[in-house]
Amino acid sequence: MSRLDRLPPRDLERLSAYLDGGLASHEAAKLRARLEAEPELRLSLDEMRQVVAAVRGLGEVRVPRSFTLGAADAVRRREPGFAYLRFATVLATALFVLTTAVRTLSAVPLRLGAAAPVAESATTAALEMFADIAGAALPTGEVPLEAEAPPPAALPVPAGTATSAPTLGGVVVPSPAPTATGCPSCPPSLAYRQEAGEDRAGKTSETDDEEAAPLTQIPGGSISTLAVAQWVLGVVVVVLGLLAVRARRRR
Amino acid sequence: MDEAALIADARRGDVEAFNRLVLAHQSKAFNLAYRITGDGDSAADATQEAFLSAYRSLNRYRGGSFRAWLLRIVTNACYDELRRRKRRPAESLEEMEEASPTGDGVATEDVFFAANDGPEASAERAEVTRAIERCLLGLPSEFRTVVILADILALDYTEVASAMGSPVGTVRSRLARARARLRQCLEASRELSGWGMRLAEERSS
Repeated sequence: MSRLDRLPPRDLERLSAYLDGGLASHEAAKLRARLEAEPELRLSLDEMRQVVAAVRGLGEVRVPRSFTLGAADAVRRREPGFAYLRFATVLATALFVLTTAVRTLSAVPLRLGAAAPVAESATTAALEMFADIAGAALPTGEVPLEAEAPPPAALPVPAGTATSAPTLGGVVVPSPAPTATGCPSCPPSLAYRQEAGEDRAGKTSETDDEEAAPLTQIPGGSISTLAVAQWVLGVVVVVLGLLAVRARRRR
Repeated sequence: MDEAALIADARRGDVEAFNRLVLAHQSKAFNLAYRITGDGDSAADATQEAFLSAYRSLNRYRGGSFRAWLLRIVTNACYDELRRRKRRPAESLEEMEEASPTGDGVATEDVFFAANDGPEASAERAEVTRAIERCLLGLPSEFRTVVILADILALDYTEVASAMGSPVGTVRSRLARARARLRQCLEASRELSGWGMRLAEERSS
């Protein structure tokens, strides 16, 4: 193990920089004072000086040949056109990805809208089952709350609730199922539950089907524009990509 | 030689202007490649590739030391070469040593020993040179590069930092550690003791 290995890293760096004249004047003065006072540090400096002298003693080797470029190399130099082509390819790809993302995202609410009635009927069934169980467990004479509600046919239904759905930006938004109690926050099942003798689940499904129908009415103009843009960009990306690959091979 | 004007001409496609830059810097470039790879043929390939790459990417040169920018490209070309070599493990240590400085026909300019040294001194010189080269090649590549740039090519810290793409503080620290490792290696190979005494004598005389 040499003295250099035993030196603290800071001292090792200082000695190395001192040999190269890379220390600030005040740092060099401080180190010189230490070298006067510390023989071990002086010996370490000598060791490092020998290493530096040994490596510098290797000298430079002669160049075996000239590395100048020929005319052919000059022709092969990257042309600015290639950079533009590459940029255009990247830009077209980014636009293509963006268009695809917009199309995908615009389709998401539609799918959710279509799935909503299914989810709603599942909730309805669960609530009905819960109400049945609760009703059976109640003591005789007590009537479940919803039993007091009048039949739905007798209730005034807000105009347009069942027939028209609100739209948002041309996309039909599913509206809540009509409630017999007139309470918009009540689950639809509680209202339908009073319809005696009817297959409630079937009824709910029918109602939902009716409401789901308008959801498929997509504003065709915007989607088809996006689709066209997507196709065009896809073709542009492929063409530009091929051109870029060809240009790169030529270089 | 107006380097800035030559660079501007070369950017416009003047290959002759670029070749004048090549002639000015090819010695440092080849020496760097030679010391990093330890092999004349690989060094020549890396140097040629680096000059070609520099010519093609002249538009990316943003001022500062052109030599440092060029040496950085050479360094990267050499690292690529070393990576390629790692993927070909068939090359044995003996082959590498055969290819190393004294065995590949690359002529070295000895500046440390006088030309009129006797045969004994000449043998000692060759032995010591081999030991230093072996120790240099044994360093991790980033340590080796910093020693070559600072000690063999005599670049200042700022240029070394620019050529390596590292801060000056990192260069200082790596150089110090590399020198300590070299010292350890040279002591271990028992080559330095005689030479060390010789150096001490030369200094005292």
